[in-house]
Amino acid sequence: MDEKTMYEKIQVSVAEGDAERAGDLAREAIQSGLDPLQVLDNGYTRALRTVGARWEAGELYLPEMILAAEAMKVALGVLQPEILRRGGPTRTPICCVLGTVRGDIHDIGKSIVGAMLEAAGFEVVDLGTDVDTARFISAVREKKASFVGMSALLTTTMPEMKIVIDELKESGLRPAVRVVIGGAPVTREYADEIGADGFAKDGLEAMRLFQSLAAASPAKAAAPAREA
Amino acid sequence: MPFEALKGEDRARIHDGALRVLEEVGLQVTNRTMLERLRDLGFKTVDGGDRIRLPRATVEAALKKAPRSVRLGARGPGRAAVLDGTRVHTATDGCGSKAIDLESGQKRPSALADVAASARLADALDQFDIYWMMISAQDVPRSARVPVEYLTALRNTGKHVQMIDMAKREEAELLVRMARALMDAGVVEGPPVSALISVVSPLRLDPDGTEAALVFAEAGLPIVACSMPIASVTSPATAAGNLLLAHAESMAFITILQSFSPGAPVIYCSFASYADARTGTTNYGDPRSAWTAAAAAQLGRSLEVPTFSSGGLLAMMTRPDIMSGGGLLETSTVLSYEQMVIENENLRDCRLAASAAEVNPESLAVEIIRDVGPGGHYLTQKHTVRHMKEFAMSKFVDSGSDPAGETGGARARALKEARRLLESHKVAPLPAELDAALERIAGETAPSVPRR
Repeated sequence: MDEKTMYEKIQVSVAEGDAERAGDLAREAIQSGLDPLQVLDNGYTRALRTVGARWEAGELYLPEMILAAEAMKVALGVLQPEILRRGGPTRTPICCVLGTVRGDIHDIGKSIVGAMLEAAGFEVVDLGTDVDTARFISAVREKKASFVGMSALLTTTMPEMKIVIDELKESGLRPAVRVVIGGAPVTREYADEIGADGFAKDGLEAMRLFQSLAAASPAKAAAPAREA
Repeated sequence: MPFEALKGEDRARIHDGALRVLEEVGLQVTNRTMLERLRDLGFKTVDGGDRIRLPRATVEAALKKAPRSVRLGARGPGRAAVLDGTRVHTATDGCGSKAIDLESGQKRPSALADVAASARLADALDQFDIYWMMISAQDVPRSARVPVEYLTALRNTGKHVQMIDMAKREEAELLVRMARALMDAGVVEGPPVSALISVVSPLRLDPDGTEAALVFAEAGLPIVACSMPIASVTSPATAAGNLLLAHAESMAFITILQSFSPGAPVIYCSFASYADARTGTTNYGDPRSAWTAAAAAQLGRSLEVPTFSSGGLLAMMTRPDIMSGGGLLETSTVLSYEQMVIENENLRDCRLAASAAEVNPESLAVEIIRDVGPGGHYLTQKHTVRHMKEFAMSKFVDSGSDPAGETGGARARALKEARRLLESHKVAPLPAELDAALERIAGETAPSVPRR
């Protein structure tokens, strides 16, 4: 298979959200002697960028976008070790710690944001739901995270966000991270009030916000975010 | 005969499917204490994990224990809502976190003053039977918010108050004490407060909310056993699957409440909604919404327990016991006073329209058609005058005749009406001693309770 055909097939596998095929094609590309870094950039990243644009244009639906992101993730798992093995440029992705705050077990909003961020090339550490302050703090510390994303679906659990931000300050971690919050009852005003860096109303807005915050603070971002 | 959105056999298939889900998949209980208590009650877990199995017989037995009618007490004379299948009560919308300021017209976080004003406006508007806690008082510390919101609503409306943001056992305990004080003082017959608690879709019990619900159930205060799945995101993308999951979840919650407190007043509630295809957030404007609300009401009614559904003409025609009304914008997150006035008019028309399907010689009007004959008009017929007036001329809804004319359009008139009502409408105060006693209870978790 020539390079062009390979890239076309990769495009299709990502567009169709076929994770298994996307992984197989990544292995096939390496075996056939293609440069894994080229395959990543010209194949998968480009494919995901196309999917993202079609999604934003309203041509693709949310599940298709998430499936494409998952296909991309599988391919990355194949290509990344090979790029490293060949001593290629190491791109440490920007790490985002995500979680739904203590007392709240609403999962999906935060998971959609996670999928969008992975599609955009961020590394996502999803702590799940009902996450207490200590778990947010230790994850930020261990992963050397650049972002904390918190979700709350209830007005009753929103105040937990402020507790986490206060604790980030208390433990000296606040200057190193950007804090973004979201969830149905959350507002921009509330984000300002509790000292968060941003607010997003849905997965698309969240992805753009993380990207613009990352671009605005190159010092904190270990590497540029891959465009989606 | 209520409207039927689902054919009998299809309703039965959804019901059977829901029972199968409860028996085979079960309900996840993350709260360890709750899981232990459920095991003690005889519930079996799926493969020894944190999911409890709800066999068909258990669910059916629990539904039989639930009372067929529930009274929602109110302090205003004749204002109690009796949920016995004979009337569709309408509630305001609820659970917002923002408000459009009455003076500035700007959107801002909601505050206790909005609880007071929206409760008083709902009291003045004749089509709202029940005040749902419309927005949260974000200027009140979290620890004191629920009891302070309740007291504020109570001071400002004689209608039943239903809480939506009650989320903890301690809050439920304070509300139970406030309810007892009201009942002991004889100012209200029946439970003056109820609360809506939701299962977290798909198939997870809210750990804290369920504990709060159990406190209410034990005290005989009604619980709305709610489910709010979003199709394609937290439930199947298809309407039938979405209804099935919501039906299963509401039945599961009722089963758990009845197992702890047999005979506790519960209300079936299915708010199955649909997702925006691009973002996954709720889209109440989905074309399937109206039919889904009616089908949900039909599923609830068939269980012979009081039923709460989303609003709309089709739902009204299906005759649930409560239907959510309106007053919030932007996917039920932003309180708008003028919208409350507009929705009040919509609800009145909706109620009339639901009874418009009567077919009799007068409504068939064959004689009138003969009298007018071909080419005439009906404007001067007595029959026209008689029946056209059944529907009030719309004051707050434009049909294109006065988009933004000299009166500033319908929205401006609605805003003016909201301001007028808020200035003039008075609600009888609570007896001073009772008010002080309630304030003491509400104030136990707050440094001071604002008067308004």
